Amino acid sequence: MFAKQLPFMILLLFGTATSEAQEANRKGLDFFESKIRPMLVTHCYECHSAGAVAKKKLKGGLLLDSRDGLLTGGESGPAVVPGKPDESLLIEALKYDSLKMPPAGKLPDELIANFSKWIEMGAPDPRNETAVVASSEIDLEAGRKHWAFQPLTQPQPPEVGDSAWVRTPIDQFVRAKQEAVGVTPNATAAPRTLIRRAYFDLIGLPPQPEDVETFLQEYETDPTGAYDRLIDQLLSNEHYGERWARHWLDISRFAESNGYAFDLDRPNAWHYRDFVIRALNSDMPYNEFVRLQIAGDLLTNLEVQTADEARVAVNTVAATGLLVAGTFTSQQTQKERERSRYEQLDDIVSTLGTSMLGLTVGCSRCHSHKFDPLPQHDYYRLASCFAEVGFADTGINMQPEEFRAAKAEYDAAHAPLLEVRTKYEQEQLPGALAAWLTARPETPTISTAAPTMTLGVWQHIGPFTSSGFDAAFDQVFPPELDTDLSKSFEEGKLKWTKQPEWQDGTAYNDKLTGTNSANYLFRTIESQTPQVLSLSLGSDDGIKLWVNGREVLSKKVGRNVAAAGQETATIQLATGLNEVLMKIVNGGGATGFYFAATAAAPPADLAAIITLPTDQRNDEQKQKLAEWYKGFDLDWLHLNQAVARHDTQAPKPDLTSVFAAQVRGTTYQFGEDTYKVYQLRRGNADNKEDEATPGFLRVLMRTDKEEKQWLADSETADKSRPGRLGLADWLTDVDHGSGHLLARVIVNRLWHHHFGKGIVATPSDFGTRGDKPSHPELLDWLATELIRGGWNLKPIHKLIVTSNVYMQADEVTDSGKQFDPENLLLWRRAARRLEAEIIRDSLLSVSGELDLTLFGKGSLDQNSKRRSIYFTVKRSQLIPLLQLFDAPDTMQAIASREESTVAPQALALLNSPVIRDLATKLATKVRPNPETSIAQAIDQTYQLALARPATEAEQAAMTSFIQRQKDSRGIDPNAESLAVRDFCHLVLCMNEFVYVD
Amino acid sequence: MSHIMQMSFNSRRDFLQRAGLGCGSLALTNLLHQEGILAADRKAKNPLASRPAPNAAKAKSVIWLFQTGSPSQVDTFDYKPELQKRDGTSLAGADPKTGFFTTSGKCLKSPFKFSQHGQCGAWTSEIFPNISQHVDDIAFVYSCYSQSNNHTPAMLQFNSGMIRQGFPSMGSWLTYGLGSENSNLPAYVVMHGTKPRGGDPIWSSGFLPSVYQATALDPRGATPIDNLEQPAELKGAPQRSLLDALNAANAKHADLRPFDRDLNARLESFELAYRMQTSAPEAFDLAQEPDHIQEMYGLNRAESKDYGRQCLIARRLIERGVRFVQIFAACPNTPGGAVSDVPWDAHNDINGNHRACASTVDQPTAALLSDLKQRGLFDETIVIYGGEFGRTSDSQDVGGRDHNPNAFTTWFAGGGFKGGTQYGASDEFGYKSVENRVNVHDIHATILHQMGIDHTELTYRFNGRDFRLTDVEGEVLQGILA
Repeated sequence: MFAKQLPFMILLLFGTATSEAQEANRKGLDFFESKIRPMLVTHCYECHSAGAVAKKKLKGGLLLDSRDGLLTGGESGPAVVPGKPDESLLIEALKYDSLKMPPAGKLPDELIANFSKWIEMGAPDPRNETAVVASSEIDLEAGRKHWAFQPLTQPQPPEVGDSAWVRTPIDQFVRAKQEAVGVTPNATAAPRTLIRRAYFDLIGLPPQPEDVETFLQEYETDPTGAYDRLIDQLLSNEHYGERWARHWLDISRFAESNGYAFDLDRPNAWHYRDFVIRALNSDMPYNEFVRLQIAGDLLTNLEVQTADEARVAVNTVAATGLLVAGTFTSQQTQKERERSRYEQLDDIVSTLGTSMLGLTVGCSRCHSHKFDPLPQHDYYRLASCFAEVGFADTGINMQPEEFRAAKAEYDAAHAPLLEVRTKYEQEQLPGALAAWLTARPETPTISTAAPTMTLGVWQHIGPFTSSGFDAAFDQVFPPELDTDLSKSFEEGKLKWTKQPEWQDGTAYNDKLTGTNSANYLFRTIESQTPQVLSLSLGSDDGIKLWVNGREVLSKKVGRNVAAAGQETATIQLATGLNEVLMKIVNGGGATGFYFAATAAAPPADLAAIITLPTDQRNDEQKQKLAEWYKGFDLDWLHLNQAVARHDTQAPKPDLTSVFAAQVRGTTYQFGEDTYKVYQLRRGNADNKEDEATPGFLRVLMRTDKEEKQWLADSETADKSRPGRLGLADWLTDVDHGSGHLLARVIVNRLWHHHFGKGIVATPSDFGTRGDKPSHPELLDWLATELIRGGWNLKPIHKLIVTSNVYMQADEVTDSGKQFDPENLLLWRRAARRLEAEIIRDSLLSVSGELDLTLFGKGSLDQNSKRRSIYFTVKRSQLIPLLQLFDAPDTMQAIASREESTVAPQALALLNSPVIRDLATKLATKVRPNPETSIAQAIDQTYQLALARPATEAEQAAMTSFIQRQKDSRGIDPNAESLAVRDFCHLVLCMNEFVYVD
Repeated sequence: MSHIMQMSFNSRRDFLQRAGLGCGSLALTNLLHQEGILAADRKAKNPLASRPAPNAAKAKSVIWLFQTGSPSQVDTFDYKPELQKRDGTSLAGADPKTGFFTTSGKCLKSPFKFSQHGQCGAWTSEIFPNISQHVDDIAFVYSCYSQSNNHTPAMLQFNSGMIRQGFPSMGSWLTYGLGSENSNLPAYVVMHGTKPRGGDPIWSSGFLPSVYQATALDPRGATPIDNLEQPAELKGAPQRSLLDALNAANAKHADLRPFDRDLNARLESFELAYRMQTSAPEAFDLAQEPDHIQEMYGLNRAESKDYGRQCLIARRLIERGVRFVQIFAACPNTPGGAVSDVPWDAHNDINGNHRACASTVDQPTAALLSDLKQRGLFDETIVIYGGEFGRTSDSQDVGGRDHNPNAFTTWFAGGGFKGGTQYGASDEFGYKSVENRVNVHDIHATILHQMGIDHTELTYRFNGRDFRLTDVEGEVLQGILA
């Protein structure tokens, strides 16, 4: 930002300054006069003095020609902290650490040292004669006078002379302005133009030839009624949501990956896209749409009782995908975390500001806004509303009723198993424990001396294959439920085999096979006595280990090779036959394992308990001991195994995971300040001031009580509402909050997308630097209509697209050309290029390839036939064809796409195999066999691609083109079909195909 | 309003919006009385058309040899005898958390011999026998520092000034400001082997129109640029006649819509595309270079052939008017703790890693300098050489070094830079930049300055704010300019 002017700076006059400076000792003042003042005069006053103010050259709101000026400082805070050179911004700037002052060149070190010394002395300064102090305080009252911050004016549509042209009140506003200048607008466009325009504009798909025919017939007898019905039909078409969701996704920088290094996927982020489509299709009131995106997670009860409630919960939670759609660095150094957190909050606040309020709130991060009445303080209050926001995959039970029933059934079957085990624990276990304690060696630590056991031969089965590494790790394959070695699986392909060669203490990396799969190794260990073993284990990749049915190790890791000591486990053996089951899970490449056992002592804490005399063990120790002993009791272990195995059959809720905001969800972690927001000096996380508390933009409040109206009184802390709920209410509050601006911004966005340019031509900047509305009364009228109609967007669409200004043709009129060549007064409708997604959707549609399935997980497959909005948005892997035609890069909110026309677009259309393939499909469609005449094929292609028949001249030109193309292929037997293919290819490249009148 | 901005918009309407003059009622009256604007404007302006620089330009193009993963300053060009002496002793003021991992706090001497070269007597490491021959053409800046100790944000900052994603890179800013000298080739080309960590967003055009985006390619691949090859069915005459028929249809369509300039731009774009089909492969065709030139760039050596190709293509591109070429060094061997997306990242073995990487880049880099000279391109081409940060003076593991954003060396050659300059200094251990500290914004400001652009004047309005490549900072480094 440039510091060229400070419209909201005010100058305050103070009386005589304190006499503190005069009391400073003479030595200090002498130092100031000899070393400091000359430097200030020479190097600083030009931009930082009353003189600079007079010449309008003051920079950064900082005055250095008075003591007050130094202490008060400018936009970046106080320049000098007396006694503390290290905390003084002046020194920082002189050292060129952050700010670099003076800009002409760094002062020599010895001069900077003088400044440090002077500040150490307490910055003695006799200059109280200059009583001008600059303040960067923003005058909110003055700021509220800006048109966009004023309440809606509720204008009446003006009278116009040319009432014949007027179809709706919108036309009155537009025509009145035209009449004032003497510009004549176009007449209503031809019906063919109207239907193609409406289709692309409202659903983003070309009309089918039969749709066009029907419309033309109806239009002939009842033009107004036919067009009205067409619009109603399109607005209730389910593809309307897909078309208009894309506009909102641009604004919300929607993506499905983290960005930065490694760009990790967010596989459940697509729910936000579906939320937007559904919200638009159901015409969710815009104020509700906003509220849910700010605080949907807080407004959702996740304990859903019915499937309907579950669907609602998915949607409302998913809405907050807006907050967490920004980038997130998964590779982080410790030093970056706090700074990154503030970047993340800035992303949220900036996106909220631009998307909903049309304000560049982000500009107030480092200093109060230079042009708009947005104090830095307000920025941090707003950021504070999101202090606890992180992201998470929230699981929602989609079939709660079924789950409850299944769970009840399962519980009934499970209870007897638990009962038997409990009974054993109560009746048998205490005696067994007592017996063991009596028989145990005096010093259990010495029981490691001679293992009295026999290790059985390994039995192996596998690989059991799954869909991926994680799935293979989690999946309960049959050996986990039953180690009956006689069983075989997969039609006998997998069966248990003895592996007498496999030795303990050797790493085997060539015995097991399989990708995304699990191998199981099983053996028995016959033990003569209860004892403890220490295992050294290795695995490539993941490993799970069960002893006597109890899981003792579970480690999901990726490795290149299995080796000794990668994992260790301490296990207990009971007297008798013990069972050891090991699961080795492999992602890709080779897989292997390592196993070695040595005798060991019980863990130290248990050894201590064991050696205590019985009567000296407290209850906790007794319990711990009893728990530990279970590992030595085969009877208990068998009962327990029955419970554990049945456990694996427990019904699991059908969870849908939704990537969305969550209180205290994932974010950069840096200790106790992680979920707090501080006001930062110059936006620097190393420079914290006070902790910020939730609040909103004061310039948009029309109440004395400020945010207390939306946030419960903070004096009763336990009753205070979360800042986000207050924010959601404030945003949509039309009486005292920012509701009027919210309405203006959204109706302008609708206008922008219908006309290619908003009434305010800067749709995300309604501030003082943004454009003024070309038709301010119309904007206010539309916003008022929106609120009056309960914030539904479809009625506003209908108002707009049934207006004559929207329906008009693109002829050049003399008066238009003469008085308004730039079409500011909307006297014609210019052809508009389709957006990237719609170009691709149209190519697929016309060639008969488009798959119109709605909703659900997307795909990165460029050959996908679904609408482009269903491409997964991976930040490092954006779809090249869409990128070529200006699809956004998803890093920041985009209100209005740039529209480029470059050779690589033409190269793609001419040479990409995908396009040639679609041309081939189209050719087959329009000329399925040689009996179809060329003339018919030409006409059919024009109907499909351009929604009109070919003219006679075009028929002639294209017929001879096809002939030429055929001739140039010589004796090739496919010459004619290749020529028709060329013709179809040509039509797909036409300007008329991608520019809609 | 800067001159540059005025030149960069293909429609007057856009220009007025960006210029903040607005189309509101105030401006309206004036505009409505201006006649004949469109008549003169009838033919679409090509946003990539070459534009004269607003100020006197020393250079026309840039070749940036990005040493991905970051070479160590004290093992390459910033000789520190004190570090050699104190090997193994505590490094005063060491912060073990300077880098990505944790360092020992103990000085690690360079495993390489240093010697002085040229008239200027610059010290260089033995791993650069060829670059050492050029020190009198090189301006060394020993006092660079950057903000992030993490590869991706640091690379983002080196390209765009910001540690965050989403801002335009310097190549995009330059083509936005100056256009291209050759409309048949992309204006801004990025060449990489394995993509550097962070990928495409590193050379993003951010919020600038996508016309200014980089064409990124891996010269090891068979088809360096997408969609250059015609479908087999259309090769030769059929495509030409298809284009002729398309042009006729498009011209008729445009004639009926005389106010829509974009239609003409699109018509022209097809012709340009047609020409690119031949001109672009020609520019990338190294078979046209004689054997001795190929050998000079090390194309006959396994270690240097990939990076050598990058350098030689770079020369061919700027020779043909490409504005900005950025190379992310393709190193086939990356031992010592590095991986191929950050080849210089010698976390555990400086000796092995830097020897391998240097044997990749030394010969082709020197060849590029010589070749530019012998073709008279040196003075108008800026060559930049350096990584995204430096490395620690204390050790990581036994013989490795961690990331160090507090000091590193970047060098410049050609394009009006003062050869033989040794600018700024790091401390006696090469640990922190202390004298004439230089940050990324200063480098950007200096490059723009040499290209004839005042970095404070090159702005673009996005979401209500006028953005600059140099944000709110940047000082032109007069001390290294001729």
